[in-house]
Amino acid sequence: MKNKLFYLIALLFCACSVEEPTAQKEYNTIPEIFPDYTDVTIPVNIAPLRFKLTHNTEEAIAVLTSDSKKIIEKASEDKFMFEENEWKELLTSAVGKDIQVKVYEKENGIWAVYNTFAFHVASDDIDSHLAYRLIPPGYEPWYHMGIYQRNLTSYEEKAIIENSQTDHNCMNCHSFPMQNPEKMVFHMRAVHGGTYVIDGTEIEKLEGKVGEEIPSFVYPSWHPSGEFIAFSNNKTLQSFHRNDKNRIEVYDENSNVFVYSVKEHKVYTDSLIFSPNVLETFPTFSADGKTLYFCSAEVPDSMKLPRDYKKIKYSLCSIAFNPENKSFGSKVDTLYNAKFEGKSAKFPRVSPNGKYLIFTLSEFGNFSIWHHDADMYLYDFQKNSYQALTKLNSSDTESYHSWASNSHWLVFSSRRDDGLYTRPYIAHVNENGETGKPFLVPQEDPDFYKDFMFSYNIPELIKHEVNINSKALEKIAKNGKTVQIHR
Amino acid sequence: MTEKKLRCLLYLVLAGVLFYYISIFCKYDYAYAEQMRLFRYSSTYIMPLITSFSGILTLVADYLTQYYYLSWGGPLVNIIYFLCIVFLIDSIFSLFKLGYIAPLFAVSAGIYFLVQETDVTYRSEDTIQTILILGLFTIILTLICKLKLNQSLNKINMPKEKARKLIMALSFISTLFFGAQYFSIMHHPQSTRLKVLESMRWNKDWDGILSLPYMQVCPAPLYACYQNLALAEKGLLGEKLTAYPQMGQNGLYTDNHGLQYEMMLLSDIYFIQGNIAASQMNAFNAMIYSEHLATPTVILRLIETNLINGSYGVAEKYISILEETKFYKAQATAYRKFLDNPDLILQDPLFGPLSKISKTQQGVSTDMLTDLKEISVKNPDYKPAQDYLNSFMTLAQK
Repeated sequence: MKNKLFYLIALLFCACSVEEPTAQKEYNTIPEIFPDYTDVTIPVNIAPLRFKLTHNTEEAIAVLTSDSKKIIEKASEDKFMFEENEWKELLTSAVGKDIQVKVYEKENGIWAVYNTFAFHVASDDIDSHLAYRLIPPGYEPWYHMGIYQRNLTSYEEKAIIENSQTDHNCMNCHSFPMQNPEKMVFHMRAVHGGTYVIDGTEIEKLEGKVGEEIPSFVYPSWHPSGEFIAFSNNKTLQSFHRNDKNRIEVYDENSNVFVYSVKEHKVYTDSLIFSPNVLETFPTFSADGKTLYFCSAEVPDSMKLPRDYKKIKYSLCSIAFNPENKSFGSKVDTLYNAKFEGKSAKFPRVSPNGKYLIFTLSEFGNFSIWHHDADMYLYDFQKNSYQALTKLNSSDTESYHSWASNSHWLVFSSRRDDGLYTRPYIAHVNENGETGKPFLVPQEDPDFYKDFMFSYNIPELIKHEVNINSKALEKIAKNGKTVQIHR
Repeated sequence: MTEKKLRCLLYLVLAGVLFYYISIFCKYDYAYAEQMRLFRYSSTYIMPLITSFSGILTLVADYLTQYYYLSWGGPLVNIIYFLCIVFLIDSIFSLFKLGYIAPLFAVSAGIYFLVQETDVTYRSEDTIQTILILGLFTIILTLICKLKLNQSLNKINMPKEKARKLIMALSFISTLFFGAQYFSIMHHPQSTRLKVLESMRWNKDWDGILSLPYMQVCPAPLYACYQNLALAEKGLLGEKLTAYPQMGQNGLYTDNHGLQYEMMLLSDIYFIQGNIAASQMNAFNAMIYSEHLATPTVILRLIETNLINGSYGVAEKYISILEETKFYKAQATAYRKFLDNPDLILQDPLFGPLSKISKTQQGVSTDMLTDLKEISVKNPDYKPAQDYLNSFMTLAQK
């Protein structure tokens, strides 16, 4: 009786386990899969990179092999749904090495095999969470949106705050100092409007303006100390194109830069970054907090908007900042001169180790998510030169980007998949500033992005989960006292 | 016949009568409701919903609402809701030997939910949740009664048989009376007319719009917009503008107050004018404002505009979404042949002219009239744009 039971269990086990087939045919090509995870560089702590074959098959099997581990996965509806624990063990066994991926496909009863491709497992971890706003890639109106966080080591996504809690207002521009989720700033617009600064469990609702001179706080960037936040103040307008691949044109009629002191509730600025005929925007601090980078475009009186929108080109500039006395340097340096170089710079972001700065270039303007020619560039502070990140750029938009805390990973927004819906891609950056092939943030179902009707906006890597009490935030938004800001 | 069987028979007869009534008088309510949801046979749609009770309710509501696409689907689903509520309430009352007054509460409740289902702001999830709660309540009470209260119930003094039947009959009549009152109150003429107009617009029933009796009186600019759109779609706006009642220039182009139907109407108006970018913008905004970010006819419009302007990746995304539905799959699949095929688009009798017009446009949009003038100047042979521009000029003088 015991023997019969044993054989029954063994039979069931054999029926469930999958064996690597023997191929009778070879396709001399790598398989077409979605997402395209062929030869990507991945962190050891990433969730399984589930993918699917882009065509229907009779049967398909994927074999993932490291030096000491192997996963054999049979496709379910052409999707390879790698199990999380098995995946983690496989990656742990391949740190700093490659995982070979072999895909077999059965056609007319005969097994064929594709060329092997690899997952290059970097020795660097990535920050565990990614924060972003989800919003349909639309025009001016909105309804559903929220700020969310995704655990990159699993498929778990949670809401930090959703606008269904705040009367469907607009919420945007979330930012964290040095990838630290203990502190956060973001804005709400329309109903319950204001700038919200969160420090641990403390939530402050700022008025988000300083008289008529600074009517709004817009693009934020924290000082590495967490004591200051650089903001721009933008009067932003939007038009849509009658016939252009870039559907929408967003431009600033006016913008300036200033620095807000979190403790003093006071703003500091200088005429070099707050000028009437110059559009200053997208401030960001250096890793040591002693330099403020920003983008700047001259607007002569002869220029009229929106008629001359294509003539607005931003240079990438910097000015010294003294956090002790909150003063600015006496001159502005230019890292990228739009007049000479011909393109327009935006979204400068300095790596936490201070070695590099990534920025976006497109033909003109500042709102590059709507510019199909927008690409990312890397400025090397040691070489004082920049180059295109050719491995990361595609024939479509690459726009917003942010660094991981160890400066070895980058997350960026791309519209390469369909030209409209922004998706988050992650890429490895080595010590020499060289990047690996980027990969799309994996989802539980490889078909997820096909149906998903929201764009990933402002992806920001953070060291751990944001632990804000969204109910407390909701309460302060609706009934909280607003802190006045001074100059 | 026992009293219970008599009640069941009366409920079924009433359901039959109501089925006939709502098939005629509520068909546009169901057509409108059907547009506000989208059930997709897709794991990426279903799996996130089944993780929560509210998600399951939404899943069931979406699943049942998809059948409103059929002319008998909406009435059938709603009568099923009605019967579930009625029989469950009747069962609860019967457990307490109070079945003779059950009709008053059961039928009132059933009619209440029937009426609520015609309200655009109402969520069918609430009806389904009510049925589930009633069902659970019935099961629990039945178990309790079987275990404990059988003997106690037998001791309750009941009115005599004739009195009970009289009470039952009176409760039916009063319920029907108040239910009819409720139905007539809930059916606001304006709301009903809008649903009729929207339904006809989605189905491109232009003759239907023009023959609606209240269009002859045309009490609002919004109705004139539908009327003039219908004329333009039939190629008659230029010839028949003054033959129909008009409300000035506001009857050519509705204001946008952020209401979904306004944006969908504007999308159609811009589309026929050849202003594909503005049509796309309004369709997209209409989609944003929908509760579930999925309105089938809006998605169909977005497929069209993206095909015309060559955004094949986005068009394919929307095609794939509708291919996961039961009733829009064929329509969506029919668009696949246009993907990455600009030559075929140019050959298509609808897409071809619009694609050519779109290519003549440059710069950023300023306002509707300026865009329309530019389209008309650069495309003098495109009649709908000429008709709309001439109509603007004509109505400006009046």
